[in-house]
Amino acid sequence: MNLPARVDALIGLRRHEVGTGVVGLVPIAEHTRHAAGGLRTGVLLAALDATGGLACGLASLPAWTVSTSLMGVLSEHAHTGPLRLDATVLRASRARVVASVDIRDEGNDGLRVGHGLLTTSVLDPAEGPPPFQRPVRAEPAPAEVDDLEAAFGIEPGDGPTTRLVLHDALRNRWRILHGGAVAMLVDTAAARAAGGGVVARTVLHFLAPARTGPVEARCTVVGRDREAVVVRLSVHDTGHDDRTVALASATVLRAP
Amino acid sequence: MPYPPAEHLLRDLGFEVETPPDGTATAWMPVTPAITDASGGVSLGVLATLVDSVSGNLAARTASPDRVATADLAVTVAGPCTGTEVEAAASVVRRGRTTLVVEVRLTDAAWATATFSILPRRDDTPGPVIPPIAPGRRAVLGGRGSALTRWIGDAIGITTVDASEGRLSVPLSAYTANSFGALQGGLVAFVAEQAGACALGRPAVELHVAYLSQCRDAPFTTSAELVGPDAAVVAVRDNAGRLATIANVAI
Repeated sequence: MNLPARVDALIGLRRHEVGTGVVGLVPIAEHTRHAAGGLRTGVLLAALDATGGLACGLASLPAWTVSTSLMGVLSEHAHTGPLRLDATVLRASRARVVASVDIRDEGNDGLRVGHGLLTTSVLDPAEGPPPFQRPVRAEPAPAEVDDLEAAFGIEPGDGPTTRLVLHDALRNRWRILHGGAVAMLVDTAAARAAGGGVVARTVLHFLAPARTGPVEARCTVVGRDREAVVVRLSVHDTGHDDRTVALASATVLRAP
Repeated sequence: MPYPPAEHLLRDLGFEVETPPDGTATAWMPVTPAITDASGGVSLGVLATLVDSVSGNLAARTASPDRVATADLAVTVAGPCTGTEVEAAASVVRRGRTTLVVEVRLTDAAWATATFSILPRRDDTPGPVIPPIAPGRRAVLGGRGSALTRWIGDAIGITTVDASEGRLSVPLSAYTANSFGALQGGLVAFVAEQAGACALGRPAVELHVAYLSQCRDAPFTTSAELVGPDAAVVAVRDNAGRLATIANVAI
């Protein structure tokens, strides 16, 4: 059996273990495009978390890892696709595994369009690591999706607060909200708080698991100029004593 | 080398810190021409050094008697930090078993976070020296130095090998070392930012740093690979070519 991955299916992500790293491929579909024509940043962050996370997990075997920090920059915003993510483990210790994720547009001569850094903590889950065969090939059938935000449980709206209903399909193997769903929420909420635009740079710290929901992203504009808006986000599990589950910043470009 | 030494860059930057008993920390840094860049404000790398210092101070106090080591650091500038002084207000947002996350707000112009790995106390390793909580500001490292009279990069001893490729060479001395005898983590962030800004041709506005190992074996070298026209990935290597730090830099 290979890794179950509902979030992978929503965004069309396929992941392959290649050598000591992991390669992720994400197509650009109608439901995953942003207004500038490229892949939505939230989709890319979700793919980055999943691809880098798999590389880190495999490097930690027989233990497994959980994402703690995700930092990404995107420099090109009109993609041809598919986008290819190459995750390489830079450091693996008993407590921490760090991966670098290179992002290229395969449909545009492999143009480098972004780069991410993923830090994970090593844990020792009682039930062991996820079941899979080596080399890992996670290729779920793409899900039929009309509205990506609705598929991620993100309620329509605008302004400084964006809410996600925690559907069971968005839970990972440990029954908590998938990190990719948190990334989608952060992307959506930051763009709404900025009044539109494309998120180009993100720092996302996963502080605690979201178990209950609804999950709320609360945004504060830190600063803005003609080109960009910097947004700070705190993400809360409203059904679990309003616990803070993530902290993030997003730089939203007004006209990429 | 004894630590802290009589002369240290952090003293010369004039850092002061206050650690009230409410679990927060605030630091201040005077703004001088030695730390500003073409943006008209304080260089992002210097802000990263300030963030590392104040968040490290708070993290060490929070984790004591365990030790901490910076795992990653991120700074986003929303506008030039000008004026006579930068204030950095730090608070712990998560204290777990193995990691600790600190958020830092800088004078309404920048936002930052730092993640620390918690290293359990061992009987054969002395814990950090934590000054007792006292009201008011105090200078870091036990005293103020003399104000920098030249650009901070020159004070560190950075030499530019190839600006377009972000190739810098960086020495190590007691003036720039941390208590482990390695290049101080905030200065590693400064070096990474400088390398990226050199390659991109403009001052940086965002910096993400992942620390992989201590920079002990000098000289250190940097290299930058462009990610489109407005971002770069910077590698900091030690004298043996080992990757010690990797960073995203954006303009």
